Amino acid sequence: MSPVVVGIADLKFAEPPHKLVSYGLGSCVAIVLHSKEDILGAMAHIMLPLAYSHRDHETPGKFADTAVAAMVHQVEARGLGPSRFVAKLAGGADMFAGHFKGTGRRIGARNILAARKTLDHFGIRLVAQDVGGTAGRSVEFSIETGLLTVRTLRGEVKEM
Amino acid sequence: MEKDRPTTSPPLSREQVAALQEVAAIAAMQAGNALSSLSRIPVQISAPEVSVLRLSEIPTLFGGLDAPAIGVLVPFQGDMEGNGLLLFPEKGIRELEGALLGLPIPAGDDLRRSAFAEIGNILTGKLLTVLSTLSEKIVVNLPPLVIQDMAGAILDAILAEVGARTDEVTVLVFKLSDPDGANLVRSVLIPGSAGIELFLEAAGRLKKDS
Repeated sequence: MSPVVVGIADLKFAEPPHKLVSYGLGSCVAIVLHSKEDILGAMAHIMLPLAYSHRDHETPGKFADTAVAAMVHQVEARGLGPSRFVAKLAGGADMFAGHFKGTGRRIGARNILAARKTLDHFGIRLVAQDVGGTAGRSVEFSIETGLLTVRTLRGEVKEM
Repeated sequence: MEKDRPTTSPPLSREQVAALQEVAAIAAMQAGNALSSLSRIPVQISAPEVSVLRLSEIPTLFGGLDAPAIGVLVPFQGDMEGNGLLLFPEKGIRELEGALLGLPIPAGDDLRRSAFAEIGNILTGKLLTVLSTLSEKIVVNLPPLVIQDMAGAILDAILAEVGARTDEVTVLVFKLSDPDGANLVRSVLIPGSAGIELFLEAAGRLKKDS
């Protein structure tokens, strides 16, 4: 069964036996929501912390705040409450170690912070995270087991 | 809250795209010849692609996002400001290391870092020199930054830098290959509106002089 690939600025829901994957996260953050009871999972691959204008809501997967809000909206549309879900985060590295001075400045750290705050705002418990540092990550999420596997090019594998 | 923030690039006419391609092709030729001289690999130069893409589409130009790559980020400033990014895939890294240093170098080694910083400097320098000379404006490259990681993770950073300003960008993609067509390096340049103006000025002077 081929995995459901979540590209940059995208968000997707999936059910078993599918797995959700996202490749090559640098400063971007994968936000995973999972409900064990409902056997439902979602992943967003956000690139920026906060939406600037109403037009940004056309691409909710691009920003941490709109991505979490859109996922909650879709959860509610299925008749479920967001509190049934837990969250996991991965990514948010500082790839060019402080080089960018514009909107890319400390973007990884700002993405992580925005994701945490927005999850908190919606009452979604953050249960695991592998964030920060200076290395890229690829992630795979099993909706069946709730396990998020994070890999780096250095051969590190974390399951959480 | 920026209510009037532009979320798309102004559309370019077919003539403007052709003009950008013409200047980019001269720059690619210069860069390719420089890499050939440096490495003694007969470098194949592809016609640069000019595309208007959504930010999410840019990583798809570079293939495997979790594939190992060396990224060389070359900042530039002057009448055009921004960052050029060169991505060297694994095969290109091995070929260039073999040609330049005579042996494969372990990942993270300073010698490897220096070699690819120099290649990035030379290639981007050639491009910017063509642009500066033709447009009679000043654009200079700054010291490059080199990282070794997944291709997608390297691209992330530059997309985040432009991503808050726009959803769609005009992208110039340069590709240099070995004689078998294997990719040695791909470069992406997101010139922004000031950069596009500069390219168009350069093309205008080129037309006038011919």
